[in-house]
Amino acid sequence: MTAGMPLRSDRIHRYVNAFCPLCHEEQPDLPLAEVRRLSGYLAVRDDRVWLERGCPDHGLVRTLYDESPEILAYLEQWTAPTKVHTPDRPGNFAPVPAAYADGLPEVQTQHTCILLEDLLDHCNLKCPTCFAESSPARATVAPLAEVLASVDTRLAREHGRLDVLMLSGGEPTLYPWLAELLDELAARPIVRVLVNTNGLRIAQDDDLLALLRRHRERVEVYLQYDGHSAEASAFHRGADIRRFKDRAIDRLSAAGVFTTLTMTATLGVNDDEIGSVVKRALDTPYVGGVTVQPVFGSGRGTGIDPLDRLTHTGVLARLGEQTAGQVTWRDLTALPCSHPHCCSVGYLLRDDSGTWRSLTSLVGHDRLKQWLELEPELLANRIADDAIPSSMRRVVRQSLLDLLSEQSSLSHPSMATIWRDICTNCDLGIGTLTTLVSSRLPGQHDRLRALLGERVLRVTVKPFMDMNTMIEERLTQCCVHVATVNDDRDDGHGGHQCAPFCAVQAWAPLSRSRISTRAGLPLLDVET
Amino acid sequence: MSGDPRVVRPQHRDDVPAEAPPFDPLRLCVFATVALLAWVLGPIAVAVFAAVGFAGYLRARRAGVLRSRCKLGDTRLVLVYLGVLVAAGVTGTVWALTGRHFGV
Repeated sequence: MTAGMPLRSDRIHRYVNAFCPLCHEEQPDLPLAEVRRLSGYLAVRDDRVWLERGCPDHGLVRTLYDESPEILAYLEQWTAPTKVHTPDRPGNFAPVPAAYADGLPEVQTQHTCILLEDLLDHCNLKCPTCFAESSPARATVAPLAEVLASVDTRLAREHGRLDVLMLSGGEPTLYPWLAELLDELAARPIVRVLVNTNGLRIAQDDDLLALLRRHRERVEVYLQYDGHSAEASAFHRGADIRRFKDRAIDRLSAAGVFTTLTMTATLGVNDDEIGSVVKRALDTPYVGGVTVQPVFGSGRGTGIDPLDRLTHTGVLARLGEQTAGQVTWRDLTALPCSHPHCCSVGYLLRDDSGTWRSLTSLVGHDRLKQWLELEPELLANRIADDAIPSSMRRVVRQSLLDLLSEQSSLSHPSMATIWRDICTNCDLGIGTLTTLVSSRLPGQHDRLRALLGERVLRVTVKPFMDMNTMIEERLTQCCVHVATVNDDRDDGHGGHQCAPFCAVQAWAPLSRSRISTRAGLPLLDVET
Repeated sequence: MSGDPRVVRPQHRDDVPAEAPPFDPLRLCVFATVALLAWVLGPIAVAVFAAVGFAGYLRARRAGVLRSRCKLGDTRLVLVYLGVLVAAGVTGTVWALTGRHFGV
């Protein structure tokens, strides 16, 4: 009798198209059309998820994709329908990544939730892990007219409304026309503007703080904050600049400007400080969010061990142990509008007794899925939820989808409506919040703002891809798009377009088409 | 092939370790055979096995084995035990033979 074929030593999780990191390292400037898409798969082995792809030159290439198959499978339960997009060049059916040379292609399956405008390449830091490779030596600045043309192009292609505009760079607070830009943006149908900053100027410049305060109904600060230790600061920022961070947080909090602490986390450096960053956010008024980004290897972010690194599910797994169970991975869900591997989100609410509780624990996973209508078969089989009339169910569903989306933060203008719909219809036991969002008393807006600033925290984990983790389907469903320029293409919009964030950071030809680089002027010319 | 640790060999039939073979209960056969010999040969079997064991432990002792995995531990004690068994086996054999001879 023969023994037959042996079983594989792994379990295939899903089949993917990927790219070869070794080829990329050998030829980082390869024309996009020559980049090979490789057949591959995610495989579970030794309780970890590995990305394996076959390269004609290098053979089978294996890299770590995620640390926990259990949490990854949990995240994949949370997917919602995506929204229609407008391709930057109709008829663009080129394959990924070459397609992105002409902006969003036809086969993109998600619209622009966040448009990221790199205002300048110049920065007052030279962070060792900067994905944009910004530095004091790089000094190009995108002219104001070009930035506005880019925004207006996107507005035209997003049916007259942008959910989130993120100002980045370089260091956007060094942008020479920041005040004019914010005024111009305030006059446009843009729901929220995020300023992605290292906080050095905010810590010291009263005029800048006043500018942010003046725009605080619309503007939120994404503040790089890597933890409490000097080591984390030195590793990620090149120096111990904690005093500037602390001062920036205090000043923004005092000014009532909603702030999200954005932590770059690295295995063996500050992966044990995730909990302390969350606690700092819980304790600081108007710090309305925490975003943890595992370090990724684009730009200057090299030196990451592709076989043993911090990942999306690794961050989630660490939450519980580092917050003494106050926040666990079950308090977060995948962001329903994005690819489930790309972002997870959770809301924490402080109830009237002072206890922080998550939206998922208040609502329950099954009920949340029902409200989001993520489980059609469950919906079809269940007895009608008597607690919510059908009309209210639609309202709650839309509110939750808004809440659990890239566009959402506590400074979102419709946040009061969202919370009112959720709190009043679903009996979350958040008495004061319910009362306040339901009332229409004079001064209610400011009180609600203060209450949201003190009693609601949004926790997100955002793992960006480098070539060791890049899979095509995440690019195709990406909704975080970077403004780029293709001046070879005359479309009446000056060649303004955009492309998925991770693709722009990873492939040099796309990175060079960022608006700050392609349309930028030398900083010295601007200042003279 | 590149020396990069990311480059791995694909799984081929010969690379995958064969499944562990089913348990071979050889010892059970050995135990049964020893019992059979003991039944058929009686004290002769005891004398022979004990003598072989004694010879083996004596050689091991001379080669420097002072401790054994045997419960008795010290190889001198094991030798004494096996010596007693040899004596018992021989005595039993003689007793059986002479007993039959004298009709006991």
